Amino acid sequence: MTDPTLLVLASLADGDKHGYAIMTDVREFAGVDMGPGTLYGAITRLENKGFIKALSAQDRRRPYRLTPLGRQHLKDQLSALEPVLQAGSRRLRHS
Amino acid sequence: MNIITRVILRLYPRRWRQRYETEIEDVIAQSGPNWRVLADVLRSAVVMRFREARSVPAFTLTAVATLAIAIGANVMIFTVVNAVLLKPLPFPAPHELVGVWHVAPGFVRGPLNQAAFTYFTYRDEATSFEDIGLWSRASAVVIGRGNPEELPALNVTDGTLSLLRVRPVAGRAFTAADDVPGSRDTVMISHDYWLRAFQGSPNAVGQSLTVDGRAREVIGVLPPRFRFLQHTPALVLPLRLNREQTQIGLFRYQGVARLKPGVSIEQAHADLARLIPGMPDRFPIPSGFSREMYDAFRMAPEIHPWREDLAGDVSRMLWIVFGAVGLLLLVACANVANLYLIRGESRRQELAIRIALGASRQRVAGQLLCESIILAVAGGAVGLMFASAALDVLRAVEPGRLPLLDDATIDPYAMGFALVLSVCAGAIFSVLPIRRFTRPVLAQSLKENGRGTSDGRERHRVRTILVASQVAIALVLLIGSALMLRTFAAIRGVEPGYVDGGSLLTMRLTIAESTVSDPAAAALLHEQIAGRVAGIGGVRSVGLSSSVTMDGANRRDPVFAEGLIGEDGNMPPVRRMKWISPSYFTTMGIPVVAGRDYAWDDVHNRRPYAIISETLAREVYGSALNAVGRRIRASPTSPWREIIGVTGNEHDDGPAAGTTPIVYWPFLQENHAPNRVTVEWTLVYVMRTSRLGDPTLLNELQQAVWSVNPSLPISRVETVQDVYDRVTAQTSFTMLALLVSSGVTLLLGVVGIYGVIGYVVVQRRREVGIRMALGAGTPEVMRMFLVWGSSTVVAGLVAGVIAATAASRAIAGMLFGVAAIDPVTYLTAIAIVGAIAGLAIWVPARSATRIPPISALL
Repeated sequence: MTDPTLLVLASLADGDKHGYAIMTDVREFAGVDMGPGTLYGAITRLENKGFIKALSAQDRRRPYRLTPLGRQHLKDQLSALEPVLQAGSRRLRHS
Repeated sequence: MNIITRVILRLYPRRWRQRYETEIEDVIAQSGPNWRVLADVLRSAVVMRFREARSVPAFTLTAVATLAIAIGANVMIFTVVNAVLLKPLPFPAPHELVGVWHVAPGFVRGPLNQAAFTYFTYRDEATSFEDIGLWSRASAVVIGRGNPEELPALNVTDGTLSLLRVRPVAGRAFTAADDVPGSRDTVMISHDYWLRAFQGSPNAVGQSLTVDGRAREVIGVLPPRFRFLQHTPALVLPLRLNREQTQIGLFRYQGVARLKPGVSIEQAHADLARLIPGMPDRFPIPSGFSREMYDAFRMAPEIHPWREDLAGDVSRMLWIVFGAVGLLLLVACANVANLYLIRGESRRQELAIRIALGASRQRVAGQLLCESIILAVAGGAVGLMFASAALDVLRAVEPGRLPLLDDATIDPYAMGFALVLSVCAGAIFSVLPIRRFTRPVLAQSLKENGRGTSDGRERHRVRTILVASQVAIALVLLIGSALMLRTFAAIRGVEPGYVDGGSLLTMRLTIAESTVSDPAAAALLHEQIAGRVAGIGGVRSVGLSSSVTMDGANRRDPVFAEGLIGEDGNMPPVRRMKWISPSYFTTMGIPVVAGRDYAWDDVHNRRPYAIISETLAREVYGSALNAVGRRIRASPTSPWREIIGVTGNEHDDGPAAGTTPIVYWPFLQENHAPNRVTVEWTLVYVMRTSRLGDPTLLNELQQAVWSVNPSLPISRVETVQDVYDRVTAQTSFTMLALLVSSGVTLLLGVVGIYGVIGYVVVQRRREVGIRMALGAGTPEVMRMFLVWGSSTVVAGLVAGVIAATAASRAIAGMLFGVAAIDPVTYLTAIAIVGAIAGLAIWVPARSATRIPPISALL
């Protein structure tokens, strides 16, 4: 699962983070090396859709926060993935 | 890497950059910028631009992009041309400022500098100048304010700054009293240095600054951003020429003067010319020289606007590049005109209905003109962004010897130029559509019910001319760039005289005369430092010289050869001179072809020896071997010096300039100047090392120097290859600019040809369908288009060859190792343009053969 928008949403689910913190967090929990271009492409799309919002900048860094709409979207996406994960795992076990 | 990052970030949409640029820069910096990161950012920028562009109609996008490239290229070159060649110098009444030089064809080729005796004469007697000043570039070591450092300096006579009307922001300017030898030592400092070294304190004026080991009183602070031609000195020192000791000779300074109001350059020229014959009556001629020798110089003044001393020899190159991008704009206009014609076809009915309903033709023409100009202005706006990004790239690659590149910015002049260019381009490419779509015959369009018909003769002719012009222009530019490419290759093929300049590191080191006053002691100090530097790990060898190959240092004097040259009372030709240490040749990789190199023993015992280059040896003595053991000297009164060695040649004036006859003296000498021991206080240390790029090396060098004397700074650390690249940068820049222009022109040309042929195919669809229904085969249909296309391309190639032949005169002076009309280059360029244009014809012609006959009925 390497959809950058989903990874960013998942990263922000446990609290506000700025760009570089999101990158390192994603690398830790998903093992995905996301470049700055990809990250900010995803951030732009998520902000436009109202799923995240930028907080006031600290120095050159600006933290982002998950909005209620974004939290709901993340839940929906994960719920949609749930049956796929379960079915995939079950079938692998029985194969 | 930082520059590349900034350039890539500029590709993002402006609004996005305003919002995210700081953040993404921060993330890139924290990620440690590398190629993977940059590739990711580049991909994201392109995707974002693509998404943005998808909503714009294809026609608009293509036209705007085409114009943006062409206008952007023109604006970029304009900013450079404006900064270097057009913008007035930043001094009041700049048109009155003139550079004052001489020519002396009996003494030296090219321009000759000013000397103290000419200066005093002109200042006393010339009636055409408000004032005249002499100046020379220098560097000076400052100690006592942090680490010792070597700063760029300017030596000026007392009137120089006042004639430029430069007013200090604090303190005072030089007066005649400051310029008198033996008076109190004074210095003016730049605004930047004032802020840095004195924290902008108003008390700086009056304080003492130790410059070259001598305490000087700071008397004034120069205005912010003070620049003297392309130089930005941190210190300005009085030149202090000594009138009592002045003799005829020593042309060491540059001159600048302000003409009195209303005086022309011709009048000033005549004014100075009348003073030259009388100079030997005012000042003594040095012993060994004669009045006849002076007259044989045939010295004359050479006065020109001071701005020309700034632009130097880059002006021709810039105009050529400007011409090339101008041609690119013409091709772009032709392309957009084509696009417009094609698009206009779909609007014929609309326009015809408007005219039929009573709209005047002028009104419709006005509408078309307006649309074209709006389109062109949009292209110009995007072009400005291209130009801004391209200037960043240009600055990053630093085409050396392009003075004032930092002044080349997108300023109101550039914006105005872009606007004018856009309006003109819009007007040019709207001419054809206006002519075509506002004619009375348009009324017939109403009857055609939108069905495409075969084209008329005139439309056909217009397209033929457009395509042929594009081919011709593409060929001219390709030939120009191919000639520059071959020049570049030929220059790169010239052995500069040394071996592997990339592993030769140089640094400048000055021992201030006031720190170590004894020349012999200074020579020992240089040897000691050279020894310490040679002891640094990875440094294989060290040599010292007053200048390295092609660094622009141009010290020259006449060379007298015993029994051969200069003993008949005639002035011998002047030759390049360098002062060196032992091991200089070994370090540089310059072979000693006869005799031997200097030993330290020769230097310290001040033995009267000389080494000369092979070119000089052959010229004077017939061969290198014949030269060894013979004797030369630099003036009729100095002692003869024995030639102990002959070395391989250096191309000291640049690779394209031939080998330079050089005399290499030991850097410590007796009686080179009358009755004195002289040493080179400033020397370039050349090191052959395997540790280039090692960040700790510089520190180790500084420590090695400081371990001998802690008050000595090092400066101008660069490789010999850097020097070479700077010298050849003009050629590289011209080649690159012409290559890019011709590449883009060729691309636009191909797109244009492809578009026209494709359009003709669509227009003649019915005709093709009917022909095929009547039994015409693929070859016949192909021939229909290929014959027209090929004849048009051939006509374009012929026109291109004629134009290129005429234009080749413009770049003939910049070529090296290739003739301006070189058959191989011409044939290759013709083959390339012909092949690409042929392909652009063949592909759409081929598609015509797939038209089903039934389409004739549709």
